[in-house]
Amino acid sequence: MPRVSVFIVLALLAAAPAVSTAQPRPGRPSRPARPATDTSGEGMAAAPTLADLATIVPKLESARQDEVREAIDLLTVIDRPEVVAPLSQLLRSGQPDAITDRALEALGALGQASAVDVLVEFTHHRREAARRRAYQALAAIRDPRIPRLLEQGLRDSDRNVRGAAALALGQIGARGSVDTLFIAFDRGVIEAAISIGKLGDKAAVQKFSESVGRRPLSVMLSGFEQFVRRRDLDDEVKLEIVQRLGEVSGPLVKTFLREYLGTFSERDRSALKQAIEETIRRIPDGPAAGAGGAR
Amino acid sequence: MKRFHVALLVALAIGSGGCASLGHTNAFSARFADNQAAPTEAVVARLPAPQAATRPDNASGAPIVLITTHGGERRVIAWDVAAGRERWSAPFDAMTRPEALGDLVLFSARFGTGETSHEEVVAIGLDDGRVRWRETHELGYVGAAREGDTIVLVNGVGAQGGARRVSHVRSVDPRSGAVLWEYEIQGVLGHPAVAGGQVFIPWDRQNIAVLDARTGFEQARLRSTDDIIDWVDARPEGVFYGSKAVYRLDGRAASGTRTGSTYLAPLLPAAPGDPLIHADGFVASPGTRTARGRIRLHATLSPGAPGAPIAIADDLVYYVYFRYVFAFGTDGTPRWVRIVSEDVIGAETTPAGLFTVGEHGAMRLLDATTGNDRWSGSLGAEVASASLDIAGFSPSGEPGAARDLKTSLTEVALDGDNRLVPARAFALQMLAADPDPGVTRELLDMYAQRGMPNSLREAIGTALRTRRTGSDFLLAALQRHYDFLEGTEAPPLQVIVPSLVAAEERRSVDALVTQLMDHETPALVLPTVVQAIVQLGDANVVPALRAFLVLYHADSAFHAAADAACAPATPNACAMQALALAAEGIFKLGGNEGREVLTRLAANGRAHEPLAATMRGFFEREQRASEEAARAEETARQRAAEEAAREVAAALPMRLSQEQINIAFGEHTEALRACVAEELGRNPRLAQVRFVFIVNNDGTGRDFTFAPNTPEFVACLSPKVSAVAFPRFRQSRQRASFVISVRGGQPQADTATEGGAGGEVLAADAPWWERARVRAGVAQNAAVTSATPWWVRRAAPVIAPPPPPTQPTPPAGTTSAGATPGGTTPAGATPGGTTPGGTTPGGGERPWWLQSGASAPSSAPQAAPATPAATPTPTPAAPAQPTSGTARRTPLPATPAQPAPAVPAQPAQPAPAGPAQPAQPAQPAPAAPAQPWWLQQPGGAAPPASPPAQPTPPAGQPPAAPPAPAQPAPGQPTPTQPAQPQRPAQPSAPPPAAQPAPAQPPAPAQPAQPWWLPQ
Repeated sequence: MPRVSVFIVLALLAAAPAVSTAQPRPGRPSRPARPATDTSGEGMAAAPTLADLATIVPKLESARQDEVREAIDLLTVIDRPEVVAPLSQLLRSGQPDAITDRALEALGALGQASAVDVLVEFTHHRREAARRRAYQALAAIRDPRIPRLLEQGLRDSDRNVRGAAALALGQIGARGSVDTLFIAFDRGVIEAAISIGKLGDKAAVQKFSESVGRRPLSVMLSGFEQFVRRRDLDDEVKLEIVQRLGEVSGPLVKTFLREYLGTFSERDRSALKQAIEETIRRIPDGPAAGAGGAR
Repeated sequence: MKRFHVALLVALAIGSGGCASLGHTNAFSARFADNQAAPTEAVVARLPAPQAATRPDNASGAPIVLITTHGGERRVIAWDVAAGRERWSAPFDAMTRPEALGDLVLFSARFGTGETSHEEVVAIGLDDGRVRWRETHELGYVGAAREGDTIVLVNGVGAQGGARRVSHVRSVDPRSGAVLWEYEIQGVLGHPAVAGGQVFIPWDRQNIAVLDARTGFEQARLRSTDDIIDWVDARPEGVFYGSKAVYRLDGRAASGTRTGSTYLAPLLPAAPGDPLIHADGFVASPGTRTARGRIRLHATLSPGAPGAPIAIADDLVYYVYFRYVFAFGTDGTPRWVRIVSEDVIGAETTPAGLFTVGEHGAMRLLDATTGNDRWSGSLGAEVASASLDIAGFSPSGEPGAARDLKTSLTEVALDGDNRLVPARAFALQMLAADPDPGVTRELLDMYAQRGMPNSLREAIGTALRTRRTGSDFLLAALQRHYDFLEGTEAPPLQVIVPSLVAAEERRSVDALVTQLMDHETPALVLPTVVQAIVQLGDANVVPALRAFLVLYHADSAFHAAADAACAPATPNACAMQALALAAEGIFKLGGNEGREVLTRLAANGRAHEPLAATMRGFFEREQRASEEAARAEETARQRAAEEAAREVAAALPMRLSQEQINIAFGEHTEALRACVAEELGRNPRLAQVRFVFIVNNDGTGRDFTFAPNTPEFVACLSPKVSAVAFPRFRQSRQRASFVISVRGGQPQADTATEGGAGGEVLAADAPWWERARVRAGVAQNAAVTSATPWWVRRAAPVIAPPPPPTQPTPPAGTTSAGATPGGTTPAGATPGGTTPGGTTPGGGERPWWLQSGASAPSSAPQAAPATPAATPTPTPAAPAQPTSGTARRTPLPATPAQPAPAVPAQPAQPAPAGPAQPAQPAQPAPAAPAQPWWLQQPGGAAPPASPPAQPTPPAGQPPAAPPAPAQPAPGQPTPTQPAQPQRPAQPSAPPPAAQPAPAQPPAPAQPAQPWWLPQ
């Protein structure tokens, strides 16, 4: 069980940032929930609209942080390109940490291309949390500049920022960044494995497989997991993955293959499924449950 | 007797031999005189002539390397360098380094194990390695030396401290080891040297005892007063001794001083590890592996005549630091540096270079010029110690091209052997001293090396900070930024930026701004970067500073306590300091717009309080500085004004002169004329108007009193005189007066008015105010001395003169009447009030002093005196004339009328005491000798013998003004009067009174009636 739990945790870790910041691609970003507190003073029951911009924007200059936060949320609800400018101005005016982070998240929720400039500025913010949020917000914007901008995050000195950037590249489908992701992976950015799995082609699979034995198996499996779930990859490629994992063997691989096998229907008689079953059979069972774990 | 003599001789022989064997009185005696010139000269004379060593000292004459091995079975090995092979190898657990002494090899070896373990001095044959003799000694072996058949050994204890300090020196037979002579002393002896049949033994690190090698008798003793003596060495080049410094043993050595001896100062004092040029002679060189001796200097001392300076052969000094071999000139200039593969255990200089033996058996001859291997070999053993006897060894072989010194030094600095950091830093210092710009790049690369020891990195940083060349490389380094994927580290801004600032490299501003905004720039260095931007930049950097300040002024990463110091452990404090510096830069360079930004940020409530307080402090400090500057300016201005006022005041006269007063009134003549005219209308007899008043030093007048003081007159004058502005003067105030002589009189020549200094010509009948005005103008021209005081010469009013009294003509020669105290009466003055010349004061009318009160004796007007000779003599002061307004003055008696005989000119009379009077023009002598008035009696009676006492003018009162010069009688030619000199400033005294009228036509003589007698 511990081996399974480790695998699950790793998968959750990989998925969590995607859940928190990723925008369903393609598509508009989801809007945050309407603030619970009604701050309009007039019993505004309906969501704020662009017409309310003139009354909301001045609240961004309030000395009270809660009022500023509420204003940010209201602007996010408006969800129009016009709210990017006041949020950008708010960010550039120098705010306490909580406001800065809130505003960055709001820009991410908006997903407007006009926010790219200010978000790029904040990818150079001295505080790691701000930089990370900036990269995550960039990942929510559909703009041809985004992949290259996210690649800059792989060069950051902070591992959290690098991880966020690596995951973001996978989320936005930046196939052109696979080489850079491999470099990052070789340098120790483990999150790059997931994105490589999401984006890499057959050659990438082979290259990725070369790292087996040089990288933690759990990290490798996180990448393989993405490879095998993709529909655009041939069974032949997936078969090679299964065979390679079979060579590695071990209880972690067996668990992985069992999970993978569970995604096939019972009527499936493909060679891939048979190969998986065969590999599972060949892998001996490990020590009693509770012993060992992810390396 | 003969028996006695023989016994005596035998006793003497036994005594000398016993002394030789005991040695206590023949050497090392406390009573032995040291530093004696003659014995020292004798010692020097016995030394062989210095010469360069051309062959090894050992008996075989072949270059030999003797080593003790390390690990496993320990052995002593003799290696023939020229033959390139081992001569012999003997199993010994050598405790000291073997020394080749002629045909023997001496060393101390340990025998036995456990409790039976002991040490013995072992002598083995150089040719075969077999033991010749062994010797046990309770004291530790120190060393031995040999010359010919003399081997001298020293054992001892206590050289490195301890309560017991005993040494034993002996001369032994080389073949058998039999003792020939010996001494045991309470003290410490060092490694001996033998030359010229003499043994040189360092003793207690201060002395050198020179013993005869054959007898052991002490020949001379040297004691050093300036240095310690750690070693003595006898070489073909001479006998030398010293510690780090080197002394030559010659005749000058007897001085015992550094300056008096032939002395060579320590070489390479800056070399790390405190290297010695010779091993410590008081401690035996160990035969086991040790780090001792791996930091050494090696140099060949040139042979020199006694007294000649000590020279280093080839001007070359080698510095060995474990695996690094440096070659320097004697001036400290590096020649080359070499890294060898293993630590150097032993080395010896040769003319070809430095022969080294490594701890793993590698032998090299490093070329003297290039440092390259000129020869190499291998002992094939792990070496514990090595001694070399290879003088003259000069293998053939080309050393190859010289290696670049900078490259070699860089290699040493970058060498990964962290045992040798001091030497690496030493190499770094030499590298950094090179001004070549390329060295800057090397230093930058070295600084970026991972795994660089901290001390070395600091040394590199220090070198970079002080570099002033190679700025281009520093600028290029600034372009670098941290990149995780590329593996690029951030540039070392903490060493680059100070160098750029010191070089005032303004090209770096843009790159510095980029580094400032780069989140990878460490917080620790942010203050340095901001400071550099402000220092090197101008107003163009303000936007960047503003963006930095605005972005982070509320950020938690820039929040720290107000008193937190920037340190590696407190990056937030560094960040906050950077913000404060950015704010200061905006304040200085940002103009009004920048100040507005700071004011806004300080007040927006988001800025951390220490930062907000800092920003507010800029304004407060500026305000304070401005106020202080204003105060200082005001103080300076006040001081300047005070100084100017003082200068102005110093230029002022102490008091106003009468002329200045006259000039002041002269400007108000018109105003005063009206009042005087009115008064004259009321009082036609008004002859004179007098003002007495107080003048303040600011030029204002007050307390005016007038004479006459009729109410109408006073009322008219008061406002007018109040408007008179006098010049300023220094005295707080002074009493002054102004007199207007109202009477117009006959037209008279008036030089003041006729072509006087002012050039203005008035009509003869010009009214007084015109005259006063002109005179005032003339008086203003201070250089004009021709102006005639108007009170002296003034036209008398046209009033009919009283009939002259008749009186007898006084005999000739009689003095003029009325000698007054301190003065004489004007000659010819008549008691009838006639002035010399017969004119009466006041013109035709009777003088005022005859009109009121006492009846003046009638006196016929006397004939006017003849025109006096115009001989300018100082006129004696006239008797005091009655003046109005001076209530205290006692009117002096009028000079009685005198007949107008011709009298000679009066001799000059001394002027009365008081202010010096200017020379007055000669007073015309009366035409006729006049009888003094006091001699004149009513009815011709003889006058009293002496005149009654004249009232003395009050003290302080100046004497009366001299009388006016005699005026010619009407019709008579007008005497030419010399110009009256200007009077000097008088103390507050009324001006001279109106002088009697000009001479009137002579009146018939009448007996004069003194004024005090009732008429």
